[in-house]
Amino acid sequence: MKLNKGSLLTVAVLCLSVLFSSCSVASVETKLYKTPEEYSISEDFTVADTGDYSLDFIEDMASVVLRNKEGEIVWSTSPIESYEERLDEYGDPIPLHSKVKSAIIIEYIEPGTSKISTAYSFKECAGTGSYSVKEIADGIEITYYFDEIKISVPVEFTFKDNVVRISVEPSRITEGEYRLYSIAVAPYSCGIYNLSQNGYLFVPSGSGAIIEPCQLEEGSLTYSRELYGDDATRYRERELDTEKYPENRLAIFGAKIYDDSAICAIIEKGAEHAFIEAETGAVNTGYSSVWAKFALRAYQWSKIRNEQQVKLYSKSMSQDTVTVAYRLLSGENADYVGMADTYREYLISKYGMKPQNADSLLNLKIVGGANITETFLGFKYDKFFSATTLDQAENMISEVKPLVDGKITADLIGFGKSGIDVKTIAGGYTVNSDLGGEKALKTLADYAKENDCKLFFNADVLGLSKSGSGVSKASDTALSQDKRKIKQYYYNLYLRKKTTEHTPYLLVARKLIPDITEKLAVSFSDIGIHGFGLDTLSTVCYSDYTDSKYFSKGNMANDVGQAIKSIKEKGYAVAVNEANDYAAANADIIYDLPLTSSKNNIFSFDVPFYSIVFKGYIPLSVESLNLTSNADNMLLKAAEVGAGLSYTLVNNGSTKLFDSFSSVFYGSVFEDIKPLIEKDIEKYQNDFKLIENAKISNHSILENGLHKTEFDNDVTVYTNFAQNALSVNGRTVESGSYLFVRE
Amino acid sequence: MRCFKKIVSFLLLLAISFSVLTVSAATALDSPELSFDSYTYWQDYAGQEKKAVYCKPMYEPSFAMDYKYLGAAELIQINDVCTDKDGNVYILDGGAGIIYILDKNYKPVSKIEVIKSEQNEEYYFDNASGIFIKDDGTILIANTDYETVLACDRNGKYLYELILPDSNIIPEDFTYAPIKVAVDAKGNVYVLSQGSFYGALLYSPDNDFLGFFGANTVASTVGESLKALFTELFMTNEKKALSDSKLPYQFVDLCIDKENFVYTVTGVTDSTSIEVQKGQVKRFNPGGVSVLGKDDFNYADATVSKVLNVTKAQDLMGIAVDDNNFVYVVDSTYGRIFMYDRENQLLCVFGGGIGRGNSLGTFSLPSAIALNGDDVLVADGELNRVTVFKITEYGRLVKKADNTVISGYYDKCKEDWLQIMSLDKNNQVAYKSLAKIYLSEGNYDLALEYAETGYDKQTYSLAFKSVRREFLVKYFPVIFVLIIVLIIVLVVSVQRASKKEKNVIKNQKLRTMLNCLIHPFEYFDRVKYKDEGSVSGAFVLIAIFYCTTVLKTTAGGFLFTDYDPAEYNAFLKFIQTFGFVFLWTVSNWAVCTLFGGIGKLKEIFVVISYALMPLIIYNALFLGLSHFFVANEVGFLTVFNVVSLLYSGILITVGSLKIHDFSFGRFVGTALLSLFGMVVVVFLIFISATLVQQLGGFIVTVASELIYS
Repeated sequence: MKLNKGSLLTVAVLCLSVLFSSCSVASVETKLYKTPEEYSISEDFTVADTGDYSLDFIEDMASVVLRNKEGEIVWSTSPIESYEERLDEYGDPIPLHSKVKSAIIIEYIEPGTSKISTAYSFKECAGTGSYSVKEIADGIEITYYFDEIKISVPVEFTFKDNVVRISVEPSRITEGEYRLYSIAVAPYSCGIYNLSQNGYLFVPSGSGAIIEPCQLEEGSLTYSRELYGDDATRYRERELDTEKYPENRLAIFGAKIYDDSAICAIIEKGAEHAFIEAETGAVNTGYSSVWAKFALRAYQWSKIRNEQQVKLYSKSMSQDTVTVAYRLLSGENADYVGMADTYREYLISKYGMKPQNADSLLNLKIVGGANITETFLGFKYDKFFSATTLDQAENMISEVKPLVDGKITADLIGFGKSGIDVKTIAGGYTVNSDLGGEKALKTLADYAKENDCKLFFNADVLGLSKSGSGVSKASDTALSQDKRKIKQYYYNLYLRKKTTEHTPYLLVARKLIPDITEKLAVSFSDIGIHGFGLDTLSTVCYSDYTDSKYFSKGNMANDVGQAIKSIKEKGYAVAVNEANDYAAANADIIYDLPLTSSKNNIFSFDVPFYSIVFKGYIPLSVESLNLTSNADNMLLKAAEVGAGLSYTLVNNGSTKLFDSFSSVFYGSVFEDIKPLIEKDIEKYQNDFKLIENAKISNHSILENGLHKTEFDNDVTVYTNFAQNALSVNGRTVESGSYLFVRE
Repeated sequence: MRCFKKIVSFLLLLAISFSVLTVSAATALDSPELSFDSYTYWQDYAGQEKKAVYCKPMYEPSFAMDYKYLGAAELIQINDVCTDKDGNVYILDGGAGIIYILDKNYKPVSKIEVIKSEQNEEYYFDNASGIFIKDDGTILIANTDYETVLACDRNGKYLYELILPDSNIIPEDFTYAPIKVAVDAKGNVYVLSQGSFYGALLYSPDNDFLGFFGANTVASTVGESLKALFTELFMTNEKKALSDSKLPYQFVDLCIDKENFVYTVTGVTDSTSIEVQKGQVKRFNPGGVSVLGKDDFNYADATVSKVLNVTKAQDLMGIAVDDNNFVYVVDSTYGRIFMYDRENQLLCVFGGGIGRGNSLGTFSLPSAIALNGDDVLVADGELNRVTVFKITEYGRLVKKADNTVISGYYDKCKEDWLQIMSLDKNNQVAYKSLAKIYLSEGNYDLALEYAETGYDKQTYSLAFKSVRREFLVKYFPVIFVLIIVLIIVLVVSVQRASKKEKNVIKNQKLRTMLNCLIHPFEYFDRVKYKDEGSVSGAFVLIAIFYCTTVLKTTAGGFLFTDYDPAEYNAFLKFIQTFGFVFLWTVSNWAVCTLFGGIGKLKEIFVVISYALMPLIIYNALFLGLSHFFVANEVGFLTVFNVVSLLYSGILITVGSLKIHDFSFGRFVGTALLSLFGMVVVVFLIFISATLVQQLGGFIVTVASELIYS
């Protein structure tokens, strides 16, 4: 084939245009900052009044407070306790730090250096009078003008249905040379005094964690983690991650202020942009608090000279409105259980979550296979290692089913074309022929139906490392804010750095998620399975800068919710794994229920908040007992919250699987695990029946250390995690044991 | 067309530049129950010194003791943690100069802030680095800044001090800054002093200075030894003083087992190595002689990490040993605790944080390690807390079984090991132990199976020897008869063929090729002058050589091969075989042409290829015999190897003499020059590749600038 110069040029131009068009990212211009000619400042006035409460504007703070009908302040953007006069050692009133008195705190990017600095609304706006107020329905809008850095932020404060809502619409933010990175909304509204005896902060880390306030002689303890985990489209940063921890999965935080009052803050809009932050011990502020910071701009780590890493911030800002709703809890509700109840009500109203009465005691994860490396005359090739065929899976189910009086659940993981490895999207929407193919799956599905087993087929609908099944690696993947396709690498086991031993994969373009899930449901329509396991979809949250609505992880909750709904509309159930709230609320079973927090230095102890929210509504299952460090402890945790048991199983183990990225193969061989299953089921089955489908009505940690869980069917469970036997009501609970009591 | 290729190449480069890295999110199979991955290393796995694999956790973090727990306003810097014989725990906040005392259930009991003598003199120990509790309850404090080891009781009552002794052994410039202290069962006191490379200062039970105990040695190369000799012989004292001297590294921690053997750990053993350190742990007998014999073993992770362009060097800085000689060492950089048994087998690695840990079980800067029964206590000098790791049921089982098998009671721990195997298929020690157990039972088949899986060549060899003996006893008569028959058939066939002057091989070139092996002078002559060399035959020989070389590794006997498919580099073998032949051919042709050689390129290629035949035969023999020999018969294979190499050398020599019509001397000269030429060619290839790589980088940079500007 001979090509002339003209043809060559045309080909080149076409290729370049295709390449660049596939790499185009959306951009949104921010309005230009303009100092108003005159600030519309007002004196204190009531902006909303419901009879029981009134929301009042306070001029000297440029903020609002909520008063009850007795005129007492019950909520404010500053800690409630800060309205009680505190005196120093000389008898003088202790002045409040401007951070504590600020309605918002912003972080902005300095031009040129990209350094992040902080500005406080109290100091920069209230103190200088550079703000404007405007009455709106049920509330007030205060625009904070940070004149020095030329950024203005309009913030809406409303009070309706006994809920204070604070909203920010990024589309109305104006900027000059300095660009806004994040807004922390009412950072000290959930504040408590550092020396408070009864107060605590609640953080949704994993299962949920409590921070008891403290006062240090210098410095402070801080916490900052993204809600729903790190943005998977952000590269490099994971290289610096040196720990494994459960992420913040629920869009809620709060504080118990006094014995009979607490504040529960729910992030109603823009939760994907949120970081949950907390601080305690700071002597300069005197208060501890937990709040939500919304990162409206994304950043990427980028190499500059000498391989130094710098953060590059996106030009465009997310346009999603962010809203935090504050609810007051009082009396017996003023604790983390009350917060869980409130949050559950919110999920019910938002996602239509309802009790399923479908708890199952035994929940299996059966692993199909993985690719291993073999050589032919020294040259490497991938060979599929069949860890469990579908026939073997049927045998496993048939062997354990008689142990259980009721339904069991089985999630088939890694039964797609490439096993547990990520290749074509959703495992190619097919069943690996080495494992038996679709025919064998149909046989298994029929068997499962006849034998009261809910069979899920797990598929990764987000990752791909090969084009195919209608999704191209070249054009159908998500882009980062600097127009790059982001490779998802696996960790090196001991250095926790990226490894090239396993093929990295890409994340699919966000806009394709609904189509892919729909296609998955259609592809398996004749098989007869109960549902799909969508673990990555339920846990991974990421941006895609091809469309402004996906900036900074935007709209992930909505998209995933829609995707799950579309599957459910086709009659399938959905199994999720350690899921974010938006996926968990729509699911039919939650595997790997978070039962610990990230055990951060700042946390005082864990609480089973996640379980309290979902128990009785969505069936729960703990982490696989055969892979935990302490199976007895896991059983104890299951008993504490009434969750089902889980086991990860394979039929054939081999040291050939050493090089698999997965950590499950060392202890999952069914023949070895079966006695463990039998022992656990025998121990737990009758107790589980007592709390099957029941909801948790209360939870507490008694003074002697016993954990007490009360269910709504009058069953109480005492669990003893201590090293010694403990007693309650004249009955002894041995160390590492539990006691079921019907009150 | 070339232009088109360039454009395509450019576009490909551009496309590659769009792909950068991030690390994967969680999968359904990965759950963060612990804040670190629990893993172990398989030792000597398929030729790799260490291969990291997941394992079932033997320890899990239980709780952390911080300032709140201890009832302190704050902690400045925890430098050491220690336990006494009753299980009481002592935490040294060196920064503040306070010792917190807890009972065996970790309940805070009291604290010592100042030590007072009967005369009410006050002794402070701020910035103290270490403590030790003697069996009689005496607390010894390595009071670094005050240059003493301070002894007091639990109530802070002053007892005595160990100061720098007045002794001829101690150099004049010696600085006494005690950092760690330990006491053996006889009451001898061992003190490590900051910057001392002489070993530990040893005091008698009566506190008399006895001398220095143990020390790291300086490893030196032959070159360094020669240099030292030269310095000694030819340099003046002034010059000697100015020259660098290599000093051993100091111990950073020590502990003593129940047999009075002293374990020491050295953080950095080789400052020139930014990769891994070696020989960090030593075990000295009471005479001060190192008896572990593992000076070339790396006790920490297999490799090191680079974060933001800075290498995070390994730094083992704490050591503890229990009554059964299980040794625990902690790496302060990576926050990992490595647990070894008394046979130096790694059982598990736990902890983590890589200098940035915050969660329970991870660390920012571990400063000390101690044991309390089965609990492992790790102090963090930056987070200022002591984390208590509890042993899991699995861990307890492994410790029990390992202790039993090492003690030689094979019959008492089989069930335990089988249970361990059912819980963790990645436990190498379990495979090895079961192999030994089955060997002792005479169950050789299972012993072979477990030894092969566990890469225990020693046990495999013993079991295989027994299997082979049984096989030979059973089948020797049959095998003997078969061999005799085979020899007779061969001899008769050859005699018949020679009588009839019949050529079994019809192809003349092929015949020449094979005859080169037996009559090299005659047949290489025919290659030169009768054009009987076959290029295609040469290619076939190289291909066979490549295949047999690969098969030698991939299909050779277990005892003589180390094969890991994931690590095997076929390309390297390819270069070693084909590359060597082609390089020699080109280089030898170029050199010999200059020196009047008349050999053609084709002939040189034929000679070097035909010379591979002995090596091919050796490879084939190896493939067969390696499945039949046991480890101590490796000498046979070595002899075969040497013979084949020599024979190949002879073939190359004879062939080259014939085709170039050289004298032997000229052949040697040109051969050496050819080898040098090969090195030059490799160097040029390397330079070219580097330039191409740099050009690629430049294009990527330009493209990035264009795209992101």
